[in-house]
Amino acid sequence: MTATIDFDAPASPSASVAADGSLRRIVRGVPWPLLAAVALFFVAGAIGLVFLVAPDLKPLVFKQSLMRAFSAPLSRGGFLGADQLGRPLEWRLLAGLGISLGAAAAVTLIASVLGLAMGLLGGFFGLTADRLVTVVIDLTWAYPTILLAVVIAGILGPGVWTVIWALGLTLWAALARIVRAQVLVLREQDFVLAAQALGYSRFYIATRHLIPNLMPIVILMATLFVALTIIAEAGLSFIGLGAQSPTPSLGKTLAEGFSFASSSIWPLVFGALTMISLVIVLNAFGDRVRDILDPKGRVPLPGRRLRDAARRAEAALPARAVDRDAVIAVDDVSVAIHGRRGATTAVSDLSLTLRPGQTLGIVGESGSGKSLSARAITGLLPEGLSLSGGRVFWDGVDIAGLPAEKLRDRRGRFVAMVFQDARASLDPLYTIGEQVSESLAAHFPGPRRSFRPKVLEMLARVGLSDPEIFYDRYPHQLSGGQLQRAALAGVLVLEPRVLIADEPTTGLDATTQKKIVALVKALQREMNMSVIWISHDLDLVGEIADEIVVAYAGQPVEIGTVEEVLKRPAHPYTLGLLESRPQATMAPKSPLRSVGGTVPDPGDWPPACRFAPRCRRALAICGTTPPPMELFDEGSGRRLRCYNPEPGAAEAGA
Amino acid sequence: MSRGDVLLSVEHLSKTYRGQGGRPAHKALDDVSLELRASETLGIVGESGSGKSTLARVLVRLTGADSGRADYCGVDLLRARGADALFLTRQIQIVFQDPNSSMNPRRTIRQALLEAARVAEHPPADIQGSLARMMEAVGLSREKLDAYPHQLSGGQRQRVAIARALAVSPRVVVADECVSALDVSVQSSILNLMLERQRELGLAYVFISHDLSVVHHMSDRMIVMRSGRIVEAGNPSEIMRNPQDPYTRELIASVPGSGFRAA
Repeated sequence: MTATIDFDAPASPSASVAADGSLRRIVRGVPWPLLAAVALFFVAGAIGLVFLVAPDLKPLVFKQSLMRAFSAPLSRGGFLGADQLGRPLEWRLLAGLGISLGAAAAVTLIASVLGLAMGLLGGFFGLTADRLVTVVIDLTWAYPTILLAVVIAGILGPGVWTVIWALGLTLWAALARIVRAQVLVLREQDFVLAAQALGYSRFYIATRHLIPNLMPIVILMATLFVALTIIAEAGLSFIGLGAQSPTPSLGKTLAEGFSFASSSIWPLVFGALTMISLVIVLNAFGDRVRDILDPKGRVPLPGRRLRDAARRAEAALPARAVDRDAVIAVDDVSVAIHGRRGATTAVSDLSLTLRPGQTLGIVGESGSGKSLSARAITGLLPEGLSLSGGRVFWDGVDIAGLPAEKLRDRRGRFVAMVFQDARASLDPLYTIGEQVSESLAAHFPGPRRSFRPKVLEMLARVGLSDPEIFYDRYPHQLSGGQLQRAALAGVLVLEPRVLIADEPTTGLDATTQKKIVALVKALQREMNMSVIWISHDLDLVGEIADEIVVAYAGQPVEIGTVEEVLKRPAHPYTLGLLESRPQATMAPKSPLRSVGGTVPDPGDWPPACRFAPRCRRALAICGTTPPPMELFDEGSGRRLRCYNPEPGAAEAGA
Repeated sequence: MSRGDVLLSVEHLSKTYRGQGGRPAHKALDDVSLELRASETLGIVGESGSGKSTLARVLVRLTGADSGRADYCGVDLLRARGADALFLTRQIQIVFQDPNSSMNPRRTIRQALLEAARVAEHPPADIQGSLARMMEAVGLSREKLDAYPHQLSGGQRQRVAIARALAVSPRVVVADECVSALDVSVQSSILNLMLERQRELGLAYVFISHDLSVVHHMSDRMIVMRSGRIVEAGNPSEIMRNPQDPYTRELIASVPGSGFRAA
């Protein structure tokens, strides 16, 4: 649920589970009643298997006429009644559970080992092996299990082993496919390449590096295989290819119960109930296992304690009147992450104003809360996060007061967002033209086709020359720069008042970045739009912004004009960021200045100044009293959260 | 061998990736020639598709080439087998870009470093003690040895990746975009670390990045690549002052902040 939150900082050891063994994670993560139910079935199955072989117990399962045929449940001598031959149903079902689960275990073992081996062979041992494996997998897919079962039954004769081999020799292909795909990804991971560069053999890398990382998938598929086998065994037994009389597999019991249903319904009912409850429990277990082992679900919610001692620091300031002329005004906003152990503040003390046509840059390292700040401004916080204080005004209207429906309609036309990964924000199945039309269709009536002229015009405006051609192109046919242009077209076609650009050029080439920046500047002038540009690169923000907000650990620490902030940084953090970048004017290979340490996680913020532990100008007071955001420079309106600003900045007043 | 001797020489190297599924063939390296001398840094700057990463992979023999020559101290890099291959492994190591994938998430830092240290020609007698020294050399405490990669920050993981590369005592380290995924403040500390190690151990670097200012700062000599070809080569400051190729000029103009910095 926190997949969209950008916290790069390491999770604390106690909260992180990624490195634990998969099995330990499953045992810890699955609710105990479910775990108990699964255990119960398997223990019952194991006991059932004992009943099948122990000489003293065997008669309970196999001996005919222990009771009267078709005895009703709770009749004398039997708890669930008896079947058509007078064998007690409870022992038959217990043994059946043993056979079915035993067969499932065998199938899972065969399919897992074979699937893992074949997937690895295909993905990691060369092109020839891959072609061969792919052909075998495709053939296996194309071949119906039943047909294979008939063939195997011809060799082994019908029976439980026929079922085991028929399923084991088909189900592996499902795993092999996934394993192969995963290996294709893993083998390009740097740690695999590094091991190769160290000269280790493929076999070594496969066993030490690949298999441990494939285990979650194998376990995941195994839970599916068990449930699938139970059902398939019933099917094959029903048509006579599976267990044969008197072997009491669940499928066989069900088949016989069905045949004699007119004499007694109970064998069918109890057989079906056993099987249904078993499959439901196994599937529920599989679902939970999938949640636990899915890498996306693994990110623990960051933070544990709500520590907002510093939260009200700004209350010391006289309450600023909200600028009603501002396009966007943000007044003392804070954002909380709701985790398992309560809420943690991720953004606090955020106050800023955005005027018509103005560009505001928000700068900070990963974990500084800059993306979350932008999300709060749009009223679109990811799942698990909420506005825990303060107010956001759009054109002077508090958005908290707007009904959800109205907010949604206004949002698209008022504030638009583009992100770093333009490819992810476009649907691969629709053409660029269709997706831009979609934005219009969400807000204006009329058939999609009627939007075409407007869409073509927009595509041309974002610099996709030959808009007719780009209209019909799919995202995968576009380069990174073109994708970002298409994403811009998709949101700007609604002519929003504000564009929020969240690292839209990170990952693009420098030459492409320059073109996108120039494009946004041109469109901004044409459309008289305000822009909030988020980046970790102060230099880049300097190119486009009028005003810069430097954020650190969820808080603005310096807000001022580009001129002031970049030429005479006042906050030690701002200066640190500026000095970290190598400059053409520096002597090559000279040591760079650097801000030591890392941004603390939300929840681990220092109580007073959050930057103090990394600050080379920290005073005693920085560790005891949270610094307020104060006006630093009357003339330019620069605001600063620091007790001991950089001396160079003071020249500003002169 | 002293500073200035040629360690690595590459001549007319070409490599084409065959097009798959109707895509056209892609010429990743096109007649690339270069030299790396002992204890120097050769910077390679280029954008996506310039072939710089393919070149890095060829140098550590993760991929081959179609034609041309590459040799290291007289050993043919493209055809080395057996003892020669082991020699090259011990001489040339690589640090990759992505701190998230540079470590196996299921193995501890100790296991990762041990795996590298075992490859060294003279594995230290006290291998556990040497792991602790390796960590300290890259600015990490020895307690981190038993941590898993996800318990470290991106910068810390990149330090471990450097320690792993240095564990086999190589003479050449290929750094392929090794600071591109890091915040500027972390980036500068990693660059400082690399400069320190170089001074101390006399390493030669092939420093590859798309970031012109970073390459300029790290390099003794610099190469600009585009579409698999070298378009400009020479002294970094000279290139920045007086770029000859139009593409180099475009790259220089695209560095953000030039306006403010100059003022």
